[in-house]
Amino acid sequence: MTVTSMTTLLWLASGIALFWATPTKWRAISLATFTALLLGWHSPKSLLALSVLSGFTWYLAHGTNKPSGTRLLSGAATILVCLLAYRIYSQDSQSDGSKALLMGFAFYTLRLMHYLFEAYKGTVTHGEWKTFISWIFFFPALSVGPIHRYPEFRRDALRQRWDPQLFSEGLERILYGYVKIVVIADGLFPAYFTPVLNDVQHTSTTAHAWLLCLEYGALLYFKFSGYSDVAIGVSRLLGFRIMENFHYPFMAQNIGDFWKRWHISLSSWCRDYAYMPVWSRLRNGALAALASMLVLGLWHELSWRYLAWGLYHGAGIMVWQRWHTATKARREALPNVMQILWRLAGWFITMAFVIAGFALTRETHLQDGLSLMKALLGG
Amino acid sequence: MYGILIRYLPGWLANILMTLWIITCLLAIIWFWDIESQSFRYLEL
Repeated sequence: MTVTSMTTLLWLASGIALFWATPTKWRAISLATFTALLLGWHSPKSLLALSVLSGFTWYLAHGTNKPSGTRLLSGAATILVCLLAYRIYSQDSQSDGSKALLMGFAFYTLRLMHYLFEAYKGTVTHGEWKTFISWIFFFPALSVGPIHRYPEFRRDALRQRWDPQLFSEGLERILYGYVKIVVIADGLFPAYFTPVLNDVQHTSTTAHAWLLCLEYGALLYFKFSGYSDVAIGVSRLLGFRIMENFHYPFMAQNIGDFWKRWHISLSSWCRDYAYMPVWSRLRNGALAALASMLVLGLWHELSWRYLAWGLYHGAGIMVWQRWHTATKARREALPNVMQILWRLAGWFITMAFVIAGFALTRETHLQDGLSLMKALLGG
Repeated sequence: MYGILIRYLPGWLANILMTLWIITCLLAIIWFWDIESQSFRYLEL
């Protein structure tokens, strides 16, 4: 089921219509029921997995604020991590991955872990099962994210009302999402960028390697941010403002800035639940960044190439943190024109770093990715 | 998008440009819709 198919559009339209036609106090349940029907129709296994894990999380979240809560939380989080690791590993090792895939598993496992951690900290009001169910069974963000947070969802669920402004914003976001997927990624790129790529192949190996990585990164951005736009737009049609996933990542002026703009819902999850715990224990920003980027990389796929990609970005952030601290005084003392040039240089280096990093994930095997990286350097 | 336009242009001009932009997006999407296959086209020249 793709977001651009007619069937998906009909499902989305009927879900939105059903939601607003239902009396307010039954909306949460109707939303969850609709998602369950959609999921059950598409993949009964996915529905079963989501139901079991939601029940498991809900039950265990009750106990996290008791004296034995820390052990319970560690146990529950370990089980979820193991399940996630197993699913990612098995889906990657399947040649016909689509059949074995549990829809949205990687995304909702992180949302469930977020709920457990926040219940342990006492920052979520545990006990509102209708809101919890509608949050976890929220169809717009189920299959490709964003990994939206419970407190924001609860806030919108409580003040649920028809807002024409939000509805109009939602339609506009859906339109932009479709333009990104259908017009740019599936239309203009293969039509105009691929021929350039083929021409360059015969003239320069280095330029060809850079263009290959650029094409991969740009397509990834337009497709994924397009899907996120559709998810955010549909959420707004239902009266929910879920978190953004992309904010002009190719405008970033340093690698730290890039990770605040690219797949924001995942990078902020890693910041809150990987970076912060490591930092608060070790008081070492470099190690915390490395740990968080490793989690981020391996979440995509349990493979050497994503391990290398995580390490690559982690190392990039470590170097940038040192550089940023060391040059702070000198940078601030620069005249305005020089500051602009400094920012331009920062943008150029960041883009080169990010685009070169795509070489590692573009190829299926790490060895091929390293060869492509070598080609980027003219080798 | 509208936020950027309204910041630098008079309101009426920002409204016209925004309307034109949305119409362009809609037309682009419609142009890519293939009636026969009931799906969006994938261009490859």
